[in-house]
Amino acid sequence: MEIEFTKKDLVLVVKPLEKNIEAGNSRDFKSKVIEQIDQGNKKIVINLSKVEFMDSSGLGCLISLLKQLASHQGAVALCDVQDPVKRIFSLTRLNQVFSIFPSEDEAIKTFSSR
Amino acid sequence: MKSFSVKISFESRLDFLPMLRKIIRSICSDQVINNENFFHDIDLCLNEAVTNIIKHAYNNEHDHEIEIILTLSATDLFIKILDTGARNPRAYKNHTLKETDKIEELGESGRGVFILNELMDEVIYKTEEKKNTLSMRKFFK
Repeated sequence: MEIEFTKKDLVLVVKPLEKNIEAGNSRDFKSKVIEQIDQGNKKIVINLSKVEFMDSSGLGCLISLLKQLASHQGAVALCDVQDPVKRIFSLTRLNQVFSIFPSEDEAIKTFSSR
Repeated sequence: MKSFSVKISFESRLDFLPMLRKIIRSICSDQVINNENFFHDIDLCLNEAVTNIIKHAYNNEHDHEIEIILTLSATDLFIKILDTGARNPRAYKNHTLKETDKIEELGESGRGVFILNELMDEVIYKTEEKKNTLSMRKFFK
């Protein structure tokens, strides 16, 4: 999976460039982000502006990253979530688990204030 | 609208899912359906159902056959998915969502069947004559 990584101060912005995060590519996405966590990136914003479709495997991959970061005193926030993806977060009540922001700047700001 | 059926057969590979969704969208969009949420629900349920088959019935092995029969009528879309892999009747029985406030207790899997049951109007799993059949129906409303 093609992913854009951008460091903004202490925050790593992860932007998947593919339209789908699903069973066929979610492992690849997860392992590439875990590489970044292993390199010391503990504050991560995942920008989902390009993602139009996510299934339960995609959700599972985000939960795995959330757990991994929480256990290393890190944190993850999501931003720019498209409507179809928002629907699956609401349906599975994961919108109550993840910090979700309308824009990348707002998501980054929450880390700056911590 | 006159009812009609389309049969699609494909190999048990997760990387075929985006193509499968495109084919099914194309079949449905030629008909009276013009509702993005309806399409999204069908895309998602197809993904969840086929992923379950590939992972659990076929143990992630390629080269197995999955057959989908779509039947479009004036009132609903009926999808029948057939495989010849391992039987998994229990997989479709747990429809509840395990909720927790503790991040460490959050499950990374197990939401697929919940999604199917939430978004489709009818979900039936049967095993007979060495074939497993998952039938799902969604009304246009």
